[in-house]
Amino acid sequence: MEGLTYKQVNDTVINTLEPPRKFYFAIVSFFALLFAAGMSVWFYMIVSGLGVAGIRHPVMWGVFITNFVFWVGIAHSGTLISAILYLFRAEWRMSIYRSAEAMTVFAVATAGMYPLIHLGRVWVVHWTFPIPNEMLLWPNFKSPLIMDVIAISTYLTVSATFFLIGMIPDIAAVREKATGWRKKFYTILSFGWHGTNEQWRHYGRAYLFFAALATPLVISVHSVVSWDFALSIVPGWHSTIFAPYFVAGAIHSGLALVITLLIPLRKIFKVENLITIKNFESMAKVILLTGLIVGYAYAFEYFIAWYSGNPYELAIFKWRASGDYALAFWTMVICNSIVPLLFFFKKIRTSIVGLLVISILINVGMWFERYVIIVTSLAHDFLPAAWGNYAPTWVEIGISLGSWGFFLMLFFLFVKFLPSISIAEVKEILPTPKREGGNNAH
Amino acid sequence: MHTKKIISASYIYVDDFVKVIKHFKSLNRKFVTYSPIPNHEIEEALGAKKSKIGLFTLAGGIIGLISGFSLAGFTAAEWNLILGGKPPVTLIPFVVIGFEFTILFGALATLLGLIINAKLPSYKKLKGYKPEFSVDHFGIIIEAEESELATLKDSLLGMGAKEVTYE
Amino acid sequence: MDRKTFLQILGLTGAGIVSGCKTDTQRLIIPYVIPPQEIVPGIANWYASSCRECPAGCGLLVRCREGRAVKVEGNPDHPINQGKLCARGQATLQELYNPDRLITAQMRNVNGSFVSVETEIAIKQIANHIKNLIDQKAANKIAVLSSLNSGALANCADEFISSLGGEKPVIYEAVNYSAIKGACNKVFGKNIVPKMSLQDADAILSIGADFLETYISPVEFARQFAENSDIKLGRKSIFFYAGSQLSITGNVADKWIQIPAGGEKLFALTLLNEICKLSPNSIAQNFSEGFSAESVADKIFISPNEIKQTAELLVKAKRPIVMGGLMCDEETQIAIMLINSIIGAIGKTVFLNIPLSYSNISTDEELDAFINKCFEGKIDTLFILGTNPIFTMPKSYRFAEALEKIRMVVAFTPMLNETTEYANYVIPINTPLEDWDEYQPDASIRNYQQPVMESVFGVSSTGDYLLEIFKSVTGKSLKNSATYYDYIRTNSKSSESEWKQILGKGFAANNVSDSETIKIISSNLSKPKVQAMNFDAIHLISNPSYKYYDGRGANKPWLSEIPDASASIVWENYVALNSKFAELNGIKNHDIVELTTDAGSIEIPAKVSTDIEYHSAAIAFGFGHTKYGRYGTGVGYTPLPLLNKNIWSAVTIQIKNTGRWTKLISPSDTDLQYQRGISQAVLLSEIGKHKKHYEDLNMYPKVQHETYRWGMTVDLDKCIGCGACIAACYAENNIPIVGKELVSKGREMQWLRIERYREDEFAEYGNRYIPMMCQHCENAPCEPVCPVYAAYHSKDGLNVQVYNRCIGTRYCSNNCPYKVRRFNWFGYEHPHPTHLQLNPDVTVRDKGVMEKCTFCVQRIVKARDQAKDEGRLVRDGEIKPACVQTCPTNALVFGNLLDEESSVSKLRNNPRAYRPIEEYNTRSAITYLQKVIKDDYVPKKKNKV
Repeated sequence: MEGLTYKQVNDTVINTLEPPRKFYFAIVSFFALLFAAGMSVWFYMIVSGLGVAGIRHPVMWGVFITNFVFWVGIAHSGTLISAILYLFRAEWRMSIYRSAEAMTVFAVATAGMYPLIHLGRVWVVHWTFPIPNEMLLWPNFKSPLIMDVIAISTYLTVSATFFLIGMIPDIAAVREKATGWRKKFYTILSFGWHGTNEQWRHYGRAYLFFAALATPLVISVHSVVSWDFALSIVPGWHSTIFAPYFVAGAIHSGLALVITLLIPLRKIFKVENLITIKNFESMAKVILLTGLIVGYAYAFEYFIAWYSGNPYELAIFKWRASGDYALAFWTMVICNSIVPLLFFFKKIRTSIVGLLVISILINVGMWFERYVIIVTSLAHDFLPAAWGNYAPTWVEIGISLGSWGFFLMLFFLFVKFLPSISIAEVKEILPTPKREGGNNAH
Repeated sequence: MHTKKIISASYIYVDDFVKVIKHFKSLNRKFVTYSPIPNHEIEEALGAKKSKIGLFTLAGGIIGLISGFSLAGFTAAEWNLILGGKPPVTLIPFVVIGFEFTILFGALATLLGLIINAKLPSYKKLKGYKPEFSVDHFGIIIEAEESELATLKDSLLGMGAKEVTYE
Repeated sequence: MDRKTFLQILGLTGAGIVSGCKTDTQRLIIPYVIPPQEIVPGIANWYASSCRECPAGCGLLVRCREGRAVKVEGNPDHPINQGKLCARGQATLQELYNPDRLITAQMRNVNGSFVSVETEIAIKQIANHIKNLIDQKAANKIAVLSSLNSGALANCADEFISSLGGEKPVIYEAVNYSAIKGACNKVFGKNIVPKMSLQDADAILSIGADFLETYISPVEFARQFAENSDIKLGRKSIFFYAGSQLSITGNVADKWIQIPAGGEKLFALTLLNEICKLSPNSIAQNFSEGFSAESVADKIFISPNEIKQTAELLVKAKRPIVMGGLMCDEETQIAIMLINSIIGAIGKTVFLNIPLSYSNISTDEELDAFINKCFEGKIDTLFILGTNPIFTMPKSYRFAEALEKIRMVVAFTPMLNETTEYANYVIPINTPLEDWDEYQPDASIRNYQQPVMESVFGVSSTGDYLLEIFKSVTGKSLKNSATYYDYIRTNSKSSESEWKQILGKGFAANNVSDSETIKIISSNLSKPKVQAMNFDAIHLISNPSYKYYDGRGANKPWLSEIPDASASIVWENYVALNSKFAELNGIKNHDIVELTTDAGSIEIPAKVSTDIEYHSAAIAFGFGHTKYGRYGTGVGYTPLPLLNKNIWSAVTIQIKNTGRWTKLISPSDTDLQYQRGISQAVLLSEIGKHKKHYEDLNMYPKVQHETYRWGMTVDLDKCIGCGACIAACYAENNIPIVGKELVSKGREMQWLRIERYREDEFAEYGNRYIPMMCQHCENAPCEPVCPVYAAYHSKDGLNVQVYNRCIGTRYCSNNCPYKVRRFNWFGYEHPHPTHLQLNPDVTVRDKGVMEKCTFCVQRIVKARDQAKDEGRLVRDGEIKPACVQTCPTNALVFGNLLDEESSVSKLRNNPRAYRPIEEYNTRSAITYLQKVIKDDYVPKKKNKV
């Protein structure tokens, strides 16, 4: 990024918002269609009953909840990068946090669909909202599911606000270049920001507090999600290690997806000078850490199962590694805790190809992690006579693809309508132009 | 009757800009400054105090915590249903609710604080504001008499202004 | 069913009821408890009736709501079943409401297909036909082939045919005991099937007699057997089972003597021979000459000692009994009767003074004679009353051809079946619950049936049709009774007041002659002929399915969906093969094998297990209907093509693996319990020892219940796995049938299932059953996880599921360690008129909600409110959930756990008491009592518990 001027930064980023080519519309409409298809499959399921999906007695949760946890996990890297790293003043976050945050918001939105999709009677979902019914009966706040509803909606609200607030100065910058209806659009979105130092004074402070609130939030949300399982008595779910284990896993998968999305993004928009290999390397380092944590968690679960002497726990963990779902289990282990170790080599963590491949593998692995945890534990719990194996049907697959369509559609719209790189903060990390000290750009 | 004019100067170097601010402060004239980025030197030069937004956050957080716990508690007491051998009101599970509400209300209060303090949103046209101010120029806008325009302009240019205009 | 249709039905049938019961004849019927005027919507009426699913003749109470029968239960006053009922009895409602029943008569037209005609017209045409016969002086060409009806209908048919000038009716039942009848005739000179009783029997030997399933009077036997095993802990009543297959009955035996199929005869004769050594008897001596244990035992692959031990047991016992199964031929039964008389069973457990209705069944000779007459063209018109011989008669009878020889075949049946394919006229008749009838299970008792509801399809009864035909033929009415009711009424020879009483109770006692001293008549005992049987070959026996009996039950989906007790297979049957044999011949489960006998061959999937003797194969009879309504057709396979004249006797078969396979559907993938102690057993000597103690830890104070905490105990030592409880649960709680396809996907809806585990601790064969329903835990894991309070713990200790609050997150099911919750994956159909059976006291659940066992909360609430009105507490035993009420062995006990004196509380402190997964501190309300294994009869000495 050395030797860039404010103006260059400004223009490079704003150029990404130029009216798109046909190809772009093709992509966006493809994802829109995918989303529509997924939704119609859901409608079909609502009409005919959940039986058309693969879920069964005793595996009452399957791909839907797997996807839910997966997307919530994805949502975590964004806030990690934007809030936590902001507090740590990590410069390498500046150019990537905007897209990461966008990813967060869209991922939470996607995740938010699944609790609805998996409901037997989605038309009465409002009973889970904190409002009483006609008999003054409220939702049950002891239920992990309600904790989840509260946590997820809080997370969506806060991260969305954080996302928009962070963008205000950039929108103002864009406003100055835009013309026609876009001008109006950005004028409204900029809240009339002009960058007076009075505004900057409050803005800086507010941003700091948002970061300070978002940090514990991001930790708590995935802990709560993990408690959806940990608070049950199901062997393989009922475990105190789940909260940290899930949070680490979330960041693991989240960062991986950031990498997967940014690599093509910087290529398409020719912003290699802003999103540099250094950014990726730093992310790779964090992934290395989370990968180790996740690997440790896997190992530790087995230790506990053995050490607790609980026959049910022991049985389930033996079965995971050797039973009908062994393939899924080993995919998870290899992709999440073995493959990331390659990032120990600088060559790999600085090669675009290496980053792309590994990041994709990690996401495959993380999806299977949730799948293995949810399905295997339910399939083989206490009473052998009630055991039964689960496999998804086309309904689950269709809806899952639909949700990917939804997510990618939003993301593609985002990169064309909003500055996908934070202009103001990139400027901040540039050396401030001074007459003395010969920092003379002009 | 003489009419007031708005004079607006833009700088590209922070150190020049800081000098200008200091200068006009010493003359304690009223002026407004613009910058494309937040910058400590400018803030110091302006000698502005820390923003009070933190208080909003704190208030919001406290309200959130209380309302979180009481929502869970009172609604459970409404029907007194026994679940899994637990008494209707059990604090431990409610901690999560309390926590989440703390964050939520805290964040919303902060947003409120920002809107109030930074006087957002405001769509009225600002006199003397130049688009560059949002790109790479540091701007200062001073209210001046017709008579002193020339001298002011010279001194601004003298202090390294890239461009000075007035309307 | 939606509210509208319900109201329509209420209006419709209500009207029918208020005008008496049958619209055609204004007549009073007498309810069991409430006088008939009081048809109050919302209040149930109970009517006494009689179960006709098999000839055992159990007494029924039918619960009617708004003029529809919604539930049948055993009549507690009835001497035979004393309030108990088997799965088949419970499912009799599905005969009543079968959607495939005929509404109008069917007549075969010129091109051989059926056309519907007004029943009245059909009757007229039949009458005219008969008139012509009589005019042609060919009245003796009229014949009647009837299922077993002793009592009014039998007499009616008798007089009908005789007064027209025809031959005596032929009575045909596939499940008949002619061999016993013949034996008693030869041995005691009494041509009857005697009543048997296990009351206080202290030594029971069953030679292939499955008396807990279909043999003679299963519910009665099950009850008596359980009462004996009740005192197992004190006095020992011993039960040996000598047979080729470990049926439900064999499974509860103390000792299984594994004899090859067809070896029963040798076994019986040898046993007789051995017994004679212990208590000499010249006649028996001669009869069993040369069948000493030493010489015979190894022929049937058992050790001489096993026979000697059995002989000793029987001779020593005070009230012994030996029963011979359907596969035993007459000579075997003779040997058995001789044994019974030597060991002094006659008069104690075998009552020759009380002939059973089975005695009336025509013998094989009579049947053959009849069929020959058909071929000789001596039969012109045949009335088939309620029986389906085409399905149960093997080719060797040539019955189908015989029917084709007959000019006019008139079948009286509620719905089309294999036999009606050969009929010219099919006359739709009422099912037993819809009409008047009288039936005599044995000489000591007469059961009476009243029409408990308006005929669902507006048809009439066999009796009425016969009378109608008679009238229009002869112009005068038979026994001058205008209707079948009058006929029964006169037949009953009772005063008006007596009659009312009888109808109210549902039965009347007959006094029987005291048992005169029975002597063995040696004269007609010729030496038994034992044709040399090669036991190294595989022999197949087929036995009546305990679910379908002789096949008549196959149209009742409740029965089809109950997993079969020996292999948990639903909606299908299979050939049972010995696992060692299968291994040697490369046959695995689900493999389709080809079975061939000299009679014919079939293809059928195999199920291998150690529950069958090495040289034997077995197929449950009653499956494989080709025409029996939507539920019965094409379910499973019939062994009929393989079988000889007596379909129950063993036949030599060749087994070939076709290399193809089909998945036999079972709701559970495994039958091992991996030492999880779910279904526990204990040695008699070790009861109460090695008891695990779990510390009762809890973060919160114990839940305080008000006055009641409902609980249940299940005595696994009594549970035989018969599935009656499941059928009762289906009937009481409007549980939908999902079908084979969905069961394979784990979508079955049973609230109560019987888990089957292999008897791995004590023997390498046998099953251990444990009924598993909602445990109504005090610390229920399912409750706190529900986001909307749809599951909560009621003040009287019930784990309540609020259907219309449920949003279907299904977390409760995930978190239920007993996995007893069922989810409505679809909205399930209740095709007309099956919806009439739905219990109005229980919601019909919509798709997307979770449901589960409620302990029949509707019954609890009713009893509790009544108690409240009478200002008292609910009495112990006053509330009986459907499963508890029907359990033939009284294995289930329900009551209030807060009352120390209640039987359920006492049982909860029984030394055998345990609760599965207790260590998870769910504090479940259901306690199980360990199954007891007698130390002397541990089949494989592996004394670990």
